[in-house]
Amino acid sequence: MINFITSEFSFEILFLLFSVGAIGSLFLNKNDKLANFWSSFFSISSSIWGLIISICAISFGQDLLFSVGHSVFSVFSVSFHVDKLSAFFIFIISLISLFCSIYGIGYVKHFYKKYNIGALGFFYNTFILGMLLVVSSSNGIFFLLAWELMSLASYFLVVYDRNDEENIKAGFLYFIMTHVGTAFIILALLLLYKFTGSFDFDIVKSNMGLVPLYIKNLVFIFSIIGFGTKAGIVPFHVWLPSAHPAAPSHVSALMSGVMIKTGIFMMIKIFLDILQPVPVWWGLTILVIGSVSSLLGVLYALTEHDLKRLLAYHSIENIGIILLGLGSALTFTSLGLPALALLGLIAALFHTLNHATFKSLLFLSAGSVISQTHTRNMEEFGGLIKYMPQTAFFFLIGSMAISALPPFNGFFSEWLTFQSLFQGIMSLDFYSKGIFIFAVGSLAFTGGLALACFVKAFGATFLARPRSEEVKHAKESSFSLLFGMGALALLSLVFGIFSGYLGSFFEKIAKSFTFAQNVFYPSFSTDSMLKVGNSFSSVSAPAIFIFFAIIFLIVIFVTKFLINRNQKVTINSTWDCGTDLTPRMEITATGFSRSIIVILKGILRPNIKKEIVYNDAGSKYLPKSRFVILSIKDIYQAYFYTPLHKITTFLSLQIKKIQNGNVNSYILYIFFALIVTLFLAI
Amino acid sequence: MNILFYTILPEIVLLSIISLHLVKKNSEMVFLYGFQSIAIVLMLFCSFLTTGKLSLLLVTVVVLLAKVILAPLFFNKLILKHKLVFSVKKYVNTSFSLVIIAILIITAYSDKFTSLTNIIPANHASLSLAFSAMLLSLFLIVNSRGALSQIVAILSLENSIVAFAVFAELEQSAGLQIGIVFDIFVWMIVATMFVSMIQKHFGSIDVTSMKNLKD
Amino acid sequence: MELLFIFTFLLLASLIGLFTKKRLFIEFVSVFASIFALFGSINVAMKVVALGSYSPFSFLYVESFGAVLLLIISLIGLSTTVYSIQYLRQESAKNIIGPARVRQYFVLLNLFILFMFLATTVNSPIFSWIFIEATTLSTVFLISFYNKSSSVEAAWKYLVVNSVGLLFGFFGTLLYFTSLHSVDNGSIVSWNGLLNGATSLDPVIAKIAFIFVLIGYGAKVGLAPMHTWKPDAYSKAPTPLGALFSGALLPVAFVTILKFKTITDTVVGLSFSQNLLILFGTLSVFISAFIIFSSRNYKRLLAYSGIENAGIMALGFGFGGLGIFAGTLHMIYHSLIKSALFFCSGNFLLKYGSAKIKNIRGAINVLPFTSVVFVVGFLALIGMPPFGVFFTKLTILSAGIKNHQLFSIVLIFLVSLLFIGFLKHVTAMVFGKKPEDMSIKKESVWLIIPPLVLIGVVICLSFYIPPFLYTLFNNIVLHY
Repeated sequence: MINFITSEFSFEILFLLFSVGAIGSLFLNKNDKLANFWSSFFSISSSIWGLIISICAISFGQDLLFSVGHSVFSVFSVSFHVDKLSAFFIFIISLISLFCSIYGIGYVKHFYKKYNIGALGFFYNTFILGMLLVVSSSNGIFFLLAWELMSLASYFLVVYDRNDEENIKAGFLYFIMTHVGTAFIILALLLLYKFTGSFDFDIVKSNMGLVPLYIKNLVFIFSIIGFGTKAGIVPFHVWLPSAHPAAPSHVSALMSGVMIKTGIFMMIKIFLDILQPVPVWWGLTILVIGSVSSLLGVLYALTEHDLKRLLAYHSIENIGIILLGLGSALTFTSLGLPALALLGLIAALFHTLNHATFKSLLFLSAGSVISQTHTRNMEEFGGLIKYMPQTAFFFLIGSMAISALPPFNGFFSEWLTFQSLFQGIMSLDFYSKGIFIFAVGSLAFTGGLALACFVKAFGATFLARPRSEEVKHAKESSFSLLFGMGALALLSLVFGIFSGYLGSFFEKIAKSFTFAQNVFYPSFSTDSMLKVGNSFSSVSAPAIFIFFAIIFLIVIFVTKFLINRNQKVTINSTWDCGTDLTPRMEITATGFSRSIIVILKGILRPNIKKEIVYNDAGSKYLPKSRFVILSIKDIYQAYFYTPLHKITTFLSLQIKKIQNGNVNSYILYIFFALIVTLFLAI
Repeated sequence: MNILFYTILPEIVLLSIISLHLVKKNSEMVFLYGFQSIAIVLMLFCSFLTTGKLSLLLVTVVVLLAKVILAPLFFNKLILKHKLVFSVKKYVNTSFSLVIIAILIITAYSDKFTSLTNIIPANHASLSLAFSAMLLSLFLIVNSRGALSQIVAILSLENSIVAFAVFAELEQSAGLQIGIVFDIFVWMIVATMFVSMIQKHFGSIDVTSMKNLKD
Repeated sequence: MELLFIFTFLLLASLIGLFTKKRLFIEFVSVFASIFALFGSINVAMKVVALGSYSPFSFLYVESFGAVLLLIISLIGLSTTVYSIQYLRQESAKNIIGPARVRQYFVLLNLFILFMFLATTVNSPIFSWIFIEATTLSTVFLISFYNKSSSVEAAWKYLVVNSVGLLFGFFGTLLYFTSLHSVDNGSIVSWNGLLNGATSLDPVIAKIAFIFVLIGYGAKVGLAPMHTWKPDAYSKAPTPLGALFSGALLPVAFVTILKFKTITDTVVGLSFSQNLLILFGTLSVFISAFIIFSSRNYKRLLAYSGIENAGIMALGFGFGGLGIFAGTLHMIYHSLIKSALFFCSGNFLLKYGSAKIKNIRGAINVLPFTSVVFVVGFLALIGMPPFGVFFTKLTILSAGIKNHQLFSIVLIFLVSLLFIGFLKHVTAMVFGKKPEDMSIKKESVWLIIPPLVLIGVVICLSFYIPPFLYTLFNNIVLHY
């Protein structure tokens, strides 16, 4: 049975199911309900199948290599290599897409009659299929095919709501940035092809000796740019905050939770697996990039009052955290400390899983809120906890998880990341130590700021009183949406409590890497505890959970039965100091974060614009209305992308001048071409 | 006969090109073109005399008809119809164009093209003359501002190529020659029709007035 | 034998237009001639696959590349003819052109296709030249079709630049003939004859000849810097003609260059012609990528895209090895996709009445089928998987990275730049709000079927190359 599940045939079934879901819904595009049903049915069943395959593959199976058919192009072959790392990512993809698809059943109803549901189903299934192919492909060109397919499908999903001009612009920015990133990836793969003679990853890995060091360094840089654009590291992140909010919410969850991880997957695969051995500065560079990304990600998140943009920036932050784990793993492999490298890798993998879980949860609940209130602006929310209690509860769990509060899963993966960094501080030389210390500092700072940001997000959205009329009409979401969110919330808790067991799961995956073979080290986890290196430190998740549960129960018990025993509990309005309570009395999201912004204004460059409209433009005494516009200067656009755009436009217009409309000059060009060629070539 | 064939005729071709650069009137251009074509006809006639193939005589007659008689006729009708007497404008003034002509002739005689002009070593001088004529015709196309002068320049380019072919002893079969002449003839007709159209739409045959298609 | 029939039918279809006034009859005969041409070409191609080459008479000769060209010309010719019928009907309905003009169109169209067939199949380089020159002459009136000053301007530039180019090509061809002094001048020299005589060709002459041929025929192909007539001609000619220009004429001229390339290669080795092709190819891609970025007219945009793809084909053949296979396949894909794109842009032009990009907005709402086909065609042309151009571009890049890595690297970035520019314009045209006064009517079926069929063929070819085509390609790789 296990053999069948982990066989080539079952993978082909997996891909086939998604393809059928895609193409079928395209044909059913005339009937909205049927298309939705078809697409959801196939994506859900395929996701379940993917979960089964991946769990079996990691726990029991061997690596799976197979190829399908042959092509007229000799450099291309449809070949797959499903090792433990791929299986793990297939697990993540299937898990999240399962719950997003369940959520989608109800959510897509908003688009009935407005847009083509068949097309949505087509692109959605193709998107997931593309991601699965990306993580399991073994031939460089096939990988590029899957990569581009994934980007193409997600582009169409981002511009799906095409009546909004902003979405079109967001999609355009996304598509060109991912395409430029792909150009760098193609370049890196071509360089490897030049020296190893093949695009096949396994052949490249075994021929790594033929590749000179400077080429490896170039491949490293190009991979960082290419995969980093997809993953969203600063400064290539500019597409993320506009593209993720533009897509339908279940797609945003997939993009933010899963798609950007494919960039991480390739980075892990290329740096830790294919290109080994690597110089030390690679790992240190990734550490610096990770620290900077996470800090800047959370700072920009603080400045946002668009709920989905805020969540998108948090993805950038969490990618930074994952890169901290990856960077430390890379550094340790270069210095010959494979035991510690394993720790870093496990931290990175665990955080990948956790982030996928809680970020999708957050996006899904944000989606519920937004579809009820028809705005993404947090300033217009407020008091939703009374209208959408379950959604609020799930969002709360997601916020606690992302802020790394125990007993949820975020805490444990950040704990592991910290441990890996501490080990680095302990065992490395001065220069590297400094970078590790910087990394630890930024991680700590990030954690605190993330908590602040989510206090703002949760508070402004759900607490206090409604700040707009729309909120009062909000209703709780339907069952499919609640199921999707609830399942993910439960998983956040479960992954946290059972992180000890999961640790051994990750050890198996990490040990499948070449650098980790034949290494002896003390195990990182026993059944219930995570511990690091010969009792340096350890944490027990169940203990924490039980501890909190006990305290919680004691407090309730004491309050209910001891303190309030003889008191009558009445319900009254909140004390309001004599005036009427209005929604304007609570702190706004902008106000909450403004103080932090002002403290860090060197980095964030806030600015204020004030406008006044007077009743009488002549005398300017009595203002009719005032506008205060608070914004953050987008330094990436201003200093990098806009100048690039200006230069290209300038060059383009200059070159266009050769088409000057004068036929004599056209003949002159031919004349010159002739004379120059004759003189140069003879 | 030999001297005529090998030296005077190609020199006539070259001289006619140079003169084409210098004239001011359209009718003079047409006349020079006719003159050049006569030289070509004579070249073909000489080669007929040397090889004795009847097909070459046929070709000579066809070329005579097309280039020496009919073409100038068409052009003159065009000139009369649109009263294009003085429109032979050039980009580069006469003295500068003479300098460029000199440079081009020196280039054609340079070492780079020795292998080109040594295809038939005996005809080296004639081939160099023909090749220089080609380069000069090309320069004339670039330099001409009137549509008619551009046409004449293109036709003289074709003449120089034919001259080159004759001296490189590359006469092909008659069928080919006639096919080429027919092609050129149709080209001529099409081009003259276009000159009329240009005159109608733009009010002059100055090709630099057609500069609207840029973007 | 089929070849003669093809020629006769096309000639008849052309002449019919001169003698009858019945529009339906002319259209019917044209379509019939094109369908016959398609079947005839497939027949010939099969024979070439079986025998290696096909030569029913001494003056006709078709080898593998010729067979591929015949297939391309006939398919594009048929789809253009079918599309033209409906296109011209709609233009007549708007009183843009009258019935006399329509007859003239079909006369010249069939002549154009006929001359292209002749240029491909005739067995002599000089006759090939004559017929390519004939295509110039038959199309120049098609460019000035609408009789506006801009059309005349475009036609004049087309005429002058192409004539100069073809005269260079003629001179180059003549130089190749210098190797054949001892041959009896009575017979017509064939391509194989030139190839066999290449051994006695002086190396320097071989180089000079190839340069003249490359620059001369390169003007017809549209390699920079001889490309300057292309944007003007494509934008002013009736839109269906753009398909024939870039889909059929470009490959014909390109293959002529390649035939001469083989002759030079036997004398001086591969690297000379390869380096030249790489240089001109890169220059073409460079210029077109930058100009597309700020393009304002979508028909000129398609012309520049043709220039870019001609550059990529040149690079494919210039890099050699795997690049030759990829270059040939790229030629086929480009012809099909570009024709489909031209047909879609014809639909845009008919509906919106303007060729400027900024006047086309919200096409997905106004012309849904056309927009979808247009977007699919754009994605296919730019190299998105799963379409075949993805593989051909990557293969060409891999062929280049071994020995010419700088050019490959530059090519990657230029192609990305081109993608950005092209995407910007496509997004602007397809999305957005439609103009206020635009009514939404059902699209005419016959305006959609030709591009749809072509894209369908591209999709099929992206996944599966039929064995007969595969054999043809292998022969091409061996020979060129």
